[in-house]
Amino acid sequence: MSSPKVIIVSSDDEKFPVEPKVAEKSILMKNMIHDLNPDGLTEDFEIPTPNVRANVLSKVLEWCEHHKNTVFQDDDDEDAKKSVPVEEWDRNFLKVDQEMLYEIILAANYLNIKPLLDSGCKMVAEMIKSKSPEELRRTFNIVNDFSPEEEAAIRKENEWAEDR
Amino acid sequence: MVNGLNTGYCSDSDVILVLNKQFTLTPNFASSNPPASPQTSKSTTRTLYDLPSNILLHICSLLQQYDLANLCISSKVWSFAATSTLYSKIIVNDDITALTALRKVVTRYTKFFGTTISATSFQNLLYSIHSNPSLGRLVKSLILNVNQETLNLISHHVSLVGNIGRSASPSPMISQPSSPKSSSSFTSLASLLDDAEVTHPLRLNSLIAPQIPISFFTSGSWIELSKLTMLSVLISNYGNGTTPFCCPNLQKLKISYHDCPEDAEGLRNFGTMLRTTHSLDNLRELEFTEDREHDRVAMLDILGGLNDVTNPNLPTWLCFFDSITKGCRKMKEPQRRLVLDSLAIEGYVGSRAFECVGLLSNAVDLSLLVNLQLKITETTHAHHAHTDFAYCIDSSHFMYLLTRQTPELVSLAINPTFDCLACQMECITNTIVYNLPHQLRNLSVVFESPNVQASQSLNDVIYQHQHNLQRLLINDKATEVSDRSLLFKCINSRQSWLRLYDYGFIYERLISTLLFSDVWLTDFLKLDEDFIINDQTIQFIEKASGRGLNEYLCYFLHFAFSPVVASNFKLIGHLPKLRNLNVLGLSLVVHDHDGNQEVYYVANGKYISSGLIFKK
Repeated sequence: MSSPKVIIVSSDDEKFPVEPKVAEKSILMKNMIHDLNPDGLTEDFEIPTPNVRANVLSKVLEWCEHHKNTVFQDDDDEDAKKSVPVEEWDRNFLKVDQEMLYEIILAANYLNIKPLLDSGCKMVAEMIKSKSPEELRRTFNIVNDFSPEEEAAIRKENEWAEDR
Repeated sequence: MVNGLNTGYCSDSDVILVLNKQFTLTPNFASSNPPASPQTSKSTTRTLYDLPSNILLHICSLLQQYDLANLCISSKVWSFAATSTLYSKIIVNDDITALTALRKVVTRYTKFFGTTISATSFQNLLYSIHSNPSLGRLVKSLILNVNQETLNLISHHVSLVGNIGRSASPSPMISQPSSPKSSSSFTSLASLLDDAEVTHPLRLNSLIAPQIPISFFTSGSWIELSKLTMLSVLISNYGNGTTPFCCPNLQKLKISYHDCPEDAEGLRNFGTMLRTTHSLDNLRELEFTEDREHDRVAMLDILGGLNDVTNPNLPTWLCFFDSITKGCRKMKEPQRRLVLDSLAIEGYVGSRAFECVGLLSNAVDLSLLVNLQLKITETTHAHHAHTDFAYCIDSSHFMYLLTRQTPELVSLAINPTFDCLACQMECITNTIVYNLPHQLRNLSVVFESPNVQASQSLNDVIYQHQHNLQRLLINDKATEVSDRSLLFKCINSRQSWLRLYDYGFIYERLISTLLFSDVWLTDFLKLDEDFIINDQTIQFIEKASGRGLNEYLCYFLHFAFSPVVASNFKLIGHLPKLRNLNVLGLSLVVHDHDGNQEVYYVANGKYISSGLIFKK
């Protein structure tokens, strides 16, 4: 009999059995596993994730599987982490449509997987860089919901920051 | 149950979002979704509008000012996060060259660095805040690298428009950046404004203004000081009658002073004021830097023969501590010593090392000190150049006596500038060998060796007596310049490139003075990991030689230029726990690989192997 697994259940009731090590990339799941099994896992343990659909969950778990042996920097060294560009594997992994990218970010936020959340946010940040407001609207498929007066006022208000 | 755990959601709107997501399981509740996030049970399409504000803020924290400014006007969905970030940290600099250089470097930085602006733009910012006071509440950190005259001029202009903040009346310019889901964020900000007296439009957490006297801020009404956790100011004209202020949350305090009796008095008054207002209760880092801009005054002192060798006065910086101890005694309060993690002192000690350490240990609980930075000068402008040998021995005693009382010390940065090089070496050696054996994890030594042997013997001392070192910075000023230029000649001897190197060197200095006014003690050992040295080193190497850093390093590591630098590299093999070595401003990271130590360098946060391996 193999060692006990953590079975993660998606919102649409699909089950994903994974090694505890993989599930523990999520701090939320890690705490649950440890809190409810203080003596360690003796049998399979189910965790429902009512916020995450199967297609997203499988993607997130693919990331956890890949990084199961990666040691990430401590939380308190936030600054160091932020200044590191997105790692190559993560970059390719996150080359998905925007909808999926947001799904992954939301799932990483909910499941508390900080390194994945960071990578996801960095990808969005890269989409923003060096773009005009109009280009930004096209990129994110958003509308300019400011009235011309509002827009002019904000431009004037933030003029100081345009100092070049 | 899941929601009870810490999921990182923080604002009310986020909680609503979580609830919505859960309710999507029961289609009846789908209609309760906010219009901005259209969700249906099965075929949900996630859009930007689904991201909670903490994530939008996180994304914005990875951007720089021009991108943020564009984001602000792109759409309401981004407006709140982008505006908050853009206003959160303001760096004002008067030097246009420095500003340009800084911005070039910052574009390669992947974290929001702060909005860097000129003094003129700062004035415009104040106008904006005047028209829309809610914007002022977004400013958390203000770094003023301007002199007092400029600031006076700005505040004069702004006060002509009206005392900023005092008028909370709506002006035609007011706009309301708002988050789509939490339009309440700004309403609440506005109500905050109504509650508080609107006399302080800026309620900062951090104020860094090393060139501006503290009295400027206590007398003005535009910055509220009570919320400060970090404060860096110039102590000058701080009289007894200066308006007291209270900042109970103050954690980091950096005081710039001039070595003169007026500032000694100012430091006394300031210390007393902070003690009586309980502003020192939460202090963790305390730093004194000597401002040497007023050398002219000192020269006059010397010419006037105002000073004498047996100066009865305490060292200027020590007056701060003296006032704390004496104040307690006078008020018959129980002696409460400061509990500091970090202490940095730049200044003169003179012939009374024993007394100085005694006074200092009365004011500060040295046994808990973790980081210590000492830049002890033997002679200062206000005192005679020493002729007496005992003087120099005494100054070196200070460091020795002080470190005898610091069993918890982990990081030490020393930069003694004595005239007598032998004393300097002895003082460093004694401290490292006898007081802190194998105790330090971080060590930064800037010194001037009398000869190559002395420099090498210091290296020996370090690896024999500090086995646990993880991070080491050595800079021998005696050979630095020749080492650097020799190094560059190794790469290429073309004149134009050498000029570029010099340019790079000046550039480095410029950046460091500009930025490091914002660097606190606990950061001082992080510097070598930071982007400044590395990125700009790379930049200038690429510009200068057209070759990559790898090739440069190859020369650097394999060429036998000065024996001193060569022996620095030998340290790697001797220090098993070493992770970071900085020589000549170039920082190297050492990684353990199957018992071998491999040297890497850091470029844009990535580790790149130099191919150099040391066997343990």
